[in-house]
Amino acid sequence: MMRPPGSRLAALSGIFLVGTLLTCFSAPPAQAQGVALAVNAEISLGIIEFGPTHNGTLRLGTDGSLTVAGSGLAASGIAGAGSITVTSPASGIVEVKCDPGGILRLGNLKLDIVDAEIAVDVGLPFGAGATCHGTRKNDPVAATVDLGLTPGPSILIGGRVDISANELTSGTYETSSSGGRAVTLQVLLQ
Amino acid sequence: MGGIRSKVVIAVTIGVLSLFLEPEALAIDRDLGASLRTRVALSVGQTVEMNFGLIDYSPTHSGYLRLGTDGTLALGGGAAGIILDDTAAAAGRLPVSGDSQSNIEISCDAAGTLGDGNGNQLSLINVEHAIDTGAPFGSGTACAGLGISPTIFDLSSNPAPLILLGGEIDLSGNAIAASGTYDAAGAMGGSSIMVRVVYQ
Repeated sequence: MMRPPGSRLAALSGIFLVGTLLTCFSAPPAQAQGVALAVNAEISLGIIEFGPTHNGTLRLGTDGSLTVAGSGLAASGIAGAGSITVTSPASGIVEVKCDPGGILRLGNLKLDIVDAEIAVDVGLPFGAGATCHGTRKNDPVAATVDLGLTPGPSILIGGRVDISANELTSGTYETSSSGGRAVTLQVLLQ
Repeated sequence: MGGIRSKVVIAVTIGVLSLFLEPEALAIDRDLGASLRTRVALSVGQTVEMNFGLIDYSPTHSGYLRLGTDGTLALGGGAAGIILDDTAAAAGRLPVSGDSQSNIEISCDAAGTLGDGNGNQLSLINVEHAIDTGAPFGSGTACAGLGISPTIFDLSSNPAPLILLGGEIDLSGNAIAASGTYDAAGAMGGSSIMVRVVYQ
């Protein structure tokens, strides 16, 4: 069936208009770039040697320093804070949220990471970092970073592990083991 | 009109799809893994000191009294004026145990001193060690000092190895000044052999 030329033009214009409007509403603002992150290092609590009778607390600072309190426990090996770099965007302000903890598993055994905390670029002993409150919408932001002033910042992560009486066994406790849970870090561009 | 509707629908569909096809995200979650290695601390069981037994000596004597890591005692170095009087000699024994997934480093003092509590001393030299299986003197691994040239041992092959110690006493130049019991204890004027065992 033949259509009048005017109605064809009107139809194409409508299509163009609708598509353009939808694209405008769906795309990020013109000046915004997406957030990209790179994991530099996982959280490592090093090696802990334990005697038959032990209990205590491990505290990992965002500077990678590990302190051991309690009895029958001794640190050996090298511990390290977790580290994630915000590789993009190059400018703007980002908010950083993070889980307050995670779960390390060794078979059926588990150790909780609690009181996770972060620092930006410069690590600090445990307790001096910014507290992680969670990554849900209404959870408070742990840190805000102006990428114009601090380009490519590294977010450093530490935390605490409490060890109950004589609960350790030899092996490697990992968040990647079945039943474990990693510490989630969220970076949001304002 | 139907054609226009279909094109509008296509445009709307493209627009809606674009909601899900944003090329770059404004927020990103990233999981950060964590790990903790644990291992049982090294422990030391009941130790047995080196025992060089009983020897008889003449006023003029020389040579070396040699104790193997297998507990055998022998004279050497042109020994003269010395007789082995009993077979009670025994190598030092140091049982250790630890994490079966780790290696340990063993190092030890190369020398010590035996004293009789009256100011007389004998030199214990060329201390050597072996693991699990002893051997006559000279066949062990020489001790070079604490932390120096340690012996590496893999606990996966035996999580509870036995460290055996031997050495020799220098009796040259009529070293034995008086009869008695010579001991490495500090109270006797001696100095004992230290053995260091650490995880690698």
